[in-house]
Amino acid sequence: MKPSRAAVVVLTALVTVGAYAWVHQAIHGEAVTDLRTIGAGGVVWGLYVVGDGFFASAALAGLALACVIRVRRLRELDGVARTALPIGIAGLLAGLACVLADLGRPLSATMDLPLVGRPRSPFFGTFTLVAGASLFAAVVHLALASRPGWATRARAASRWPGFWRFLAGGWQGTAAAQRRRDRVDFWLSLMLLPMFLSALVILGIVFGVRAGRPAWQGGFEVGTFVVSAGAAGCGLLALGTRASKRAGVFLARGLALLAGLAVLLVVAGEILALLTPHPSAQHYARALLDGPWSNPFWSELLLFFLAAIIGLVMSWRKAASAAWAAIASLLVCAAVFLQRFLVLVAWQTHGLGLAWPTGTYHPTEVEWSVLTGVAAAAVLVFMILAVVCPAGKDDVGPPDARAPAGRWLRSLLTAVCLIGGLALSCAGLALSAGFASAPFLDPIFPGGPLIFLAGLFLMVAGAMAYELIPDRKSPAAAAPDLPRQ
Amino acid sequence: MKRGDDSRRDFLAGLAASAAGAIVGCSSASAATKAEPEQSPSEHRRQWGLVIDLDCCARCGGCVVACQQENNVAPAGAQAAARTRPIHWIDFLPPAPGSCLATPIPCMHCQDPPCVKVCPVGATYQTYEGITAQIWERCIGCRYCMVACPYSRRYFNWGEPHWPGDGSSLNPDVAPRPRGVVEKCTLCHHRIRAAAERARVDEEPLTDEALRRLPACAQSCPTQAITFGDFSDPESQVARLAAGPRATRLLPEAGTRPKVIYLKEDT
Repeated sequence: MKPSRAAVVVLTALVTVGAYAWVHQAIHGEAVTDLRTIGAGGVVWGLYVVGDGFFASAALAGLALACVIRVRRLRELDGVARTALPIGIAGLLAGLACVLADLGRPLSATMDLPLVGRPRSPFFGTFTLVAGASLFAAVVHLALASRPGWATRARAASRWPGFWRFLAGGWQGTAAAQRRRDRVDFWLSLMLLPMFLSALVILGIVFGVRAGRPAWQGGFEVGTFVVSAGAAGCGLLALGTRASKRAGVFLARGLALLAGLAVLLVVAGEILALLTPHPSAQHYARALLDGPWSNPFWSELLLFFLAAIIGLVMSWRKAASAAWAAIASLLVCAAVFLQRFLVLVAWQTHGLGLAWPTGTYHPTEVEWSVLTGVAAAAVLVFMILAVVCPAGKDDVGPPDARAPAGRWLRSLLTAVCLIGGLALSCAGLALSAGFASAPFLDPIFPGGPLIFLAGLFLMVAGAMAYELIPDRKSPAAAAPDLPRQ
Repeated sequence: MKRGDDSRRDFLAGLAASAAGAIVGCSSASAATKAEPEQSPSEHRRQWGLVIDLDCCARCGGCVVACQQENNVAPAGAQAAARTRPIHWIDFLPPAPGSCLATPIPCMHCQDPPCVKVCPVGATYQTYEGITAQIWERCIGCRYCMVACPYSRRYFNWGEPHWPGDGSSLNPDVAPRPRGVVEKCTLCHHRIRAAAERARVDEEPLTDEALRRLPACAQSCPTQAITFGDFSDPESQVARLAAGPRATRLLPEAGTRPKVIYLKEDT
């Protein structure tokens, strides 16, 4: 997919405006936003956290869906699984940017979180699993999956063939290499699937479980969050993939199912909140039903419903029109954004346990500019990755071009990465949890979160070791090297 | 072969010795760390808290002003106040439906504080004397604690704090907070520390009478509606008041077990 020049210019302009607004906020503080003191008529989490919840959850859901496709070895959906990687990377980066824009002291956060992060806070999971390990894993997965395409480009490109050859990492296009590629795809996906799902649930916990809210409702919200994230993930994949007919119908079916389920969950949550004797829950439910948040609430339901209907019709007719798929995707993304907004903001304005005055929230132009800039940057990143990381498959060479010699080193390094990574991550988690120190003291050894993260990185790097270490050349049958330009 | 067996045995023995050394080292380190809160084993573990008598409270706002002055809480200014961004470590909760009197509400210093659980960097923590404290320098400004607090008793510094004049009115015992961090009531922890230090130097016990009006809000209350003390001491005035029939807590269903007790007649 080659992006049009006009689209790049517009996106770059939006990114520039967003960056300017961000700098303005960094100079003057968050007083330039409409975020205010909770309980005194304002909200402390607003558009930025909503943006994080939208981008990161949709990205994680898309990545998880891609893992399922790879684990089930659905070859006809390879294109969808491949597109999920750049979308996932762009979404996770956008989520990270939203969080950084929201933090009062982002520089301190980058220092303190890796040193003294506490696992009992859901934020520990968001910065280690969501922003750290998931992003790294998606980048590694994309790089490995792009090797055949880079090798082809190295042969065909008139400019920088050495650079593409370097990126191809010694891809030979042999049957053995292809087998390793498939194996890594399968096992890496199997390993990453629980991580992506855990990260998604942790994000759901941040959004769903809050003080003053009855526990059952928070738990219910986690389910709604995960399901609607799946719908948004399907929508983004449908938007970003030039899908075959089969893949289009698959995505339409997923979109219809998840958007329909989201409608049911949102309605059930509302009814339960109305019926509960908890005053804050009732106040919140009333605000959504016929109060100040009724317009976004009914819009959210309508958008989910329309997206589900369009998806249903497409899957019924077994014909996925690109235009209708795009419309359904945009509808479901808007619905999910509204869902995140309502669950986060409306609860702070109308769901407080004590008799504080009800609040309001009208995001300022600074907040809108930053969010738009982040979204534009995410689209740009996706476009760049789609161009730089080609999806092409190399022709597979003769099956026995390489001898199995040298496999012990690969196995050893992979095992060391996996076992060492697991050990490191366990040790990092234990250190972060502050074992052997009182709860009001810092961990006896700072840097536990960093060690935990390093362990996760090492485990993912095991896939690189397995795939990149080449077979030793057999004296009898040496495969031809990549043709030089 | 024999030589190989010996060397393997030596290696395993060395490994076991190293592991044992590491375990012993870790145990002693952990023991050293755990010993810290029990530096004065003769003292029992105090649980500081407040009792606020709503039937005595005149709603004069003296506690709010005294707290601002004592703890270097910067005045919000007209613009920030209009945008509901003033900071009051102790404030008045508007009257609930069916009531006509506001409730002075500081941080509840919960025994099971949700704000501590959600802080990602340990900037908010519970001291071994039960005070929910905050390390300003550690705070990254994520405001998760504000979202988690069921009483909404935390404040974020949205802009750079400004004090009128040259700042000579600032209390040197309390650090001013910078922009981008969350702040809250500390139960005038600096005063507690100073009182404990004085008692230690004078070699006298820290009596309940000396503590009752220790925090700025309690000291300034003209009707003595606010009483401070140690809930773990059954003889203290706060413990006796808290055991009385008029004692009640805010949002008991939240399960946070606050250490600020309100006294009021049932209406």
